[in-house]
Amino acid sequence: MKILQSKLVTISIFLFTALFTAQASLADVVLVANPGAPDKSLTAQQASDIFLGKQKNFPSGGSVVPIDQEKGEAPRDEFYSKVVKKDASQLNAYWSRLVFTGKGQPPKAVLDDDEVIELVSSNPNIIGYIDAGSVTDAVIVILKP
Amino acid sequence: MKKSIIYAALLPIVLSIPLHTQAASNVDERLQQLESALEEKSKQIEKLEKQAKRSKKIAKKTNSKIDDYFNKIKFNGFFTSGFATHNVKDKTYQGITEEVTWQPDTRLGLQMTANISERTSVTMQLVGKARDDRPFRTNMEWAFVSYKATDSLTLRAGRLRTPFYMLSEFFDVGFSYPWVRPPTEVYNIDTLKGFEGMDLIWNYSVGEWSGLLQVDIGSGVSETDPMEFDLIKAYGINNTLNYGNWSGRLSYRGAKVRFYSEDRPADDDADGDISNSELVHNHNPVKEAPVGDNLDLQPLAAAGLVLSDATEMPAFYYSLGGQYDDGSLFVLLEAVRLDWDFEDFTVKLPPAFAGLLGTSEFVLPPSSSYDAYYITTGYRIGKWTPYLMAAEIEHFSDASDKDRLVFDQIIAVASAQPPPSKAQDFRKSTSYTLGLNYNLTPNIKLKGAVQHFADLSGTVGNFGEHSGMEEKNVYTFLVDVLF
Repeated sequence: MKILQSKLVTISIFLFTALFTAQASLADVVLVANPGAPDKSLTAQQASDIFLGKQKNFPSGGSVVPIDQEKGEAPRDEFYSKVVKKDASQLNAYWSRLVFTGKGQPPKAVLDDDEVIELVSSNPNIIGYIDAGSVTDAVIVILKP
Repeated sequence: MKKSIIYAALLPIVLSIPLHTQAASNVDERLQQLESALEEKSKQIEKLEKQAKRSKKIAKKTNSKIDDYFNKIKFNGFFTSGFATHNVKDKTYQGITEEVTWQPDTRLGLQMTANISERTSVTMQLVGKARDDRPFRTNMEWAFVSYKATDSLTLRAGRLRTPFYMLSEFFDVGFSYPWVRPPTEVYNIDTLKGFEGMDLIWNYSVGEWSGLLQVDIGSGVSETDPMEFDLIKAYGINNTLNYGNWSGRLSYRGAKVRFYSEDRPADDDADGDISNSELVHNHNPVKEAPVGDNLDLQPLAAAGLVLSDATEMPAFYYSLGGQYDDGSLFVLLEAVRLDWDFEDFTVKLPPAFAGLLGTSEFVLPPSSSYDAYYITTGYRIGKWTPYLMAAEIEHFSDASDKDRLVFDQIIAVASAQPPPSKAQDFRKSTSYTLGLNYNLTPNIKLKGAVQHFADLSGTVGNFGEHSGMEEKNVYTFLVDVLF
């Protein structure tokens, strides 16, 4: 009986750990690029500057086009709070200075992870953030915040 | 009989043997049934998944169609409204009076950008607002064509807002800054002019540093502004450098100031513009002189002095700004100088004035030159942002005391006041603001602020003439919307 109990405890600990690790990795956002992109990794600072329109090129050259996900998508909120360190309101204030002076427009937004992967895998200039669980062979992870 | 009883008792046991095998086959059958049911269900799920994918594709298609449309034409807008009041009797500050008023801060902006080709677009921005004591009206604040020569180089031509200082270009967009209104010590009416001309914007980067260099050239004619001077032959250069949470901006502008003079044709006033003749005849210097505003030359026009000789006086604008923002803590500061070079500008006085003041001419004092700064810091706590700001403006002049005295005397005479016997101090004004903002949604901000004016030495300032007045407070509550 005792043996069974300890076995059960071990199993449940294992299951819980597995479950929670799986959940944690599910909630992780990653920045992906085309396998043919000029850079295989970016710093959070570089990624932030690219998504805020301050940097127009990859660090090693070649133009970079960031792709957003629609407002309300979980990866979007996570990317902006973790990497850019701005909430939706701050982001709006930031872009309003550029939009209303004709100096810039926020990145184009697509529906979901699949669409980001579709775009990124078809163009070496495009980068986008997706859920770590959605990563496929068609893209490479260039930043794990 | 007994035997039969025994058989009967045995029957279930006997029966149970085939029953048992039957049960086993039942389980198999059941399993098969379940398996096939499962298969069916998974087929159904697959079907549903396919359907979902299909509808997603349809949605994507519709979306991209909508996107195509919005990629061609983009609409953006901003809106601000709220009320303000202050505790000073019979004085006006930025259109705000002792009575609670909604007019000065209420404004609506609508922008449309049409992408004509991959590299070319046309943008226009209409802003409807009231300014000082002028009625609510709509102005085309921006109207330009933009050409993207490369990914980082943009050329624009048309009507643009002049980038005098750090916030000049988006002064109307309340959502873009923390305050209820940008510090009036620095951002007063004359540094909000638009101009017609062109500019060049270059986005560059060096390592993790990024920057924006803007060069512009053109003229700002006053017809669409409630001001009585033009800025012609204007040119400017400004550079913003960003590194991580830090940002700095340096700008320089040179221009020639040309004042309205009586020979300037008065417009027909059909659009509600204040015409030159109205300026000359109806001007009230106390009512219309907000801080740092260069309207103190209006009394000269009111006194009948022809300013046509004064055309093309050099003016220089300098600004040094900085910003730190780590997402929670932010600091924003800027120091500016406006230098109007009135050197060698001699005004001949009309005989009546000459007799009254005992001189026939004087050098116009450059009393409109000023140094101003503001510093503000705040901290975001969830949806709340409390902040503090200090701001100051101080005017200066290289003119002789005698010329300054004559100038003050003319103002006094033109305002039907007794002429002073001693040149008055330069304007100086210091204010402190305590504000609290709340993000109602990512697109709506509620803002409340109390601005306290502490140092009001000098003769004219934020509240017009304020000699003998106590310290004063301005209270504002407003809502900023972005759409």
